Amino acid sequence: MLVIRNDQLRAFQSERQHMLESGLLERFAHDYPDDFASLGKEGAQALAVETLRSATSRHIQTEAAIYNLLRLFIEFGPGLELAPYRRWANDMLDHPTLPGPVKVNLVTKRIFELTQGRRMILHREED
Amino acid sequence: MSTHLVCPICGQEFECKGPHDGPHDVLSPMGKCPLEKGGIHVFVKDNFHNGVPKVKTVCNKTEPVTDRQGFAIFDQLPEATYTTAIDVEGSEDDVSSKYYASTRISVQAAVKPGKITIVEFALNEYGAMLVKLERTDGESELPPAKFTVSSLNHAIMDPTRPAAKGQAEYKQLKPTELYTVACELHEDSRKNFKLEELEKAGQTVTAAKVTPVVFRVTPRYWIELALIYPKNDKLTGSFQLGQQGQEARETDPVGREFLHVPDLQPGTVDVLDVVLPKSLEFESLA
Repeated sequence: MLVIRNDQLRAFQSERQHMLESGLLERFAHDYPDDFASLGKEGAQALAVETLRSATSRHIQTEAAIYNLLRLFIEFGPGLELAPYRRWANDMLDHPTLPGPVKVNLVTKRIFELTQGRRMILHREED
Repeated sequence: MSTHLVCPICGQEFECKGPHDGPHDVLSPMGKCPLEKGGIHVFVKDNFHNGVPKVKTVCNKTEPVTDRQGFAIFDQLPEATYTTAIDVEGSEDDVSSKYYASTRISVQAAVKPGKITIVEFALNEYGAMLVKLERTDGESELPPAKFTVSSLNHAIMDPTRPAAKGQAEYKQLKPTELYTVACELHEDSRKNFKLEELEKAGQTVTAAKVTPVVFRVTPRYWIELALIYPKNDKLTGSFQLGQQGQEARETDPVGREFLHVPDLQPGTVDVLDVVLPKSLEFESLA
């Protein structure tokens, strides 16, 4: 009988986490070169790690859904603070039973439909 | 096979060379679409950063109200600076009676090509105050009174209100202001009741619940004394009074019809001594 010990399972998970992080960073640098440059490698890595942490807590597991979550975080901030309908978006992503890819797709489609690829900037008094 | 499409944002034609056997993403962040138009997203939030619906907003000669999420969206705007404002007073009753603006309500928001400017406005929720009159002895019968609530920066509608069944409610007070609350007993009741405090300054309210402000009133026990002499009914003099082991002298220097002695303990009062005017003493001696 094949037995997989907890230590081995953790090693597999850590390896997968590392691969996901690398993949996210690669796509981040390719698709959002300006944001990647302004954050720097360390900042970008921190955002990728935050995305993975958020994805895990929200039961978002597929690579495509995690990348879409990263896109949301890059464009609207890790708390979606710049997103239209941010409360709805966060509530949707936090939904306990909906499948992860469905949640992310719903949110990205609705938000990107509103922004139509345009970036959000917060008005400040000194602007 | 390629297809010519018209960009819904800039109106330019572009050629799509993607596979057409199913939907594909045309809103790539790497797209080369020259985004000429921008937009303004107005977000109206309350103290808890929740969106406030139905708030009237004004921008670019249109006046939409915020949606259920608290957003009003002004899209397809050319690059310029736009006066963007909210009008709480002009909004529906359930907004104007519940919220007020304590910070800016109008900004000059710049719109840049291909960008959406988020303009946030913050509203505060009104609070309410219940001013009450209570007796210190626990009895229920209350004297007629009126309350006045005032603030330096907030003019209240009908600031002075009669105490109906000993209380008056003030709605639409601002949690960001300090209020002074005063209580005044009716003239006829002041002989029989005494307020522990006439005024309470620095009172605040919260939006979460009605804030009670209580004035305590104590019943007053008193007697009236008179020196009666057939020749002259206005006599000066003094009385030595005793009650529960304590003594006090009450003097009437001007000769009133009755000498009112307030704030006694309930129970009996002993008149221990009466000092007559000098003239009467001479008269009686003579």
